[in-house]
Amino acid sequence: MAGETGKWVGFVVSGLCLSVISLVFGTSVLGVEALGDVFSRFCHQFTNRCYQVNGLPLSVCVRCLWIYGGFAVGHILFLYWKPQVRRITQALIGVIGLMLVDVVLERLGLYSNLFWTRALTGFLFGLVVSHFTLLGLREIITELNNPFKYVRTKFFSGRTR
Amino acid sequence: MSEPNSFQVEPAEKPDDFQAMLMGAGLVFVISVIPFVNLLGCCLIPQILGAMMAVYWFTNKYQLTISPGKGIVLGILTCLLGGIAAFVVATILQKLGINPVEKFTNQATIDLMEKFAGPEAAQAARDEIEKQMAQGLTAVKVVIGLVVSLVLNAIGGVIGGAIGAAVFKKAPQVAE
Repeated sequence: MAGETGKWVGFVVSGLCLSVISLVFGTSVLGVEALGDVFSRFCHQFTNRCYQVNGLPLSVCVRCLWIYGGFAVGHILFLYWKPQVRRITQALIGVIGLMLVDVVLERLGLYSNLFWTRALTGFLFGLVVSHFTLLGLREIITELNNPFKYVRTKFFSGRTR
Repeated sequence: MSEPNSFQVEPAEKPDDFQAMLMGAGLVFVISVIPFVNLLGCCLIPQILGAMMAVYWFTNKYQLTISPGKGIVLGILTCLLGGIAAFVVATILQKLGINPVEKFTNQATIDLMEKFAGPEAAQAARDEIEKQMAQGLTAVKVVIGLVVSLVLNAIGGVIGGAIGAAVFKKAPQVAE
């Protein structure tokens, strides 16, 4: 396990997520078309599913925006809070289930286009997944020093060509 | 003549991740390239599903539990393999003008926008499609597309690999 080392990874990933959120707002407010095109590869960008700023839709949907928010918070939170692996795994399965239920209920017409359900499920998904991405990234970076060496030794050692 | 050593034990099968990678990459490829199926391809869904499938295949076949780090690496490699293959094939087909269902998929995209985002968004999608068809495929577009594709596939691989390693556990984790 990574121990106390490699904590900077959490801050870096969290900072990157906050930068992306800033870009989302910046792109929409400033109307930078090229960046909007980049975000179109991440997200469907249906305008009625996006927050509006100054009458303009943001470049990503509500759920995507809150997933980034969940990642930003989670990568800091789980640096200091170590939940039981079994519990957090159950939480992950629960959150994925919750998101699917949200999609299915909306598709069945029980409600339509509720921003808060998308925001909540997106945020929780980003938050819980960040526990596992943080663990993995810290493992790769701290224990192995060299990610390329990690790939070579873990996957390609002993393979004859 | 030397007797064969009856006590000699053949080493157990070394877990080979390449087959798992191919399975996951195949899923990424199918969801990214096959007409109509590729309408599912938003919000990194193909990448996350492909990486999870690779981890599932690997852990299930060898009855293993892998660490989050290994899951992430397996996920990234899977998504890069599938993503690059999908990008190359899609670019070649586009360059050759081979897309028998282009008309249908374009219309499906516009219909989807109309249903979920309203007539204005559908009109914007229609304009964008017409603009892109008029512009054609340039080298700059291909390079930018490749870079964006690599980054997106890597991010999807990280998320899918981490989720897969957390969810698909088949045995106590082996100290490596």
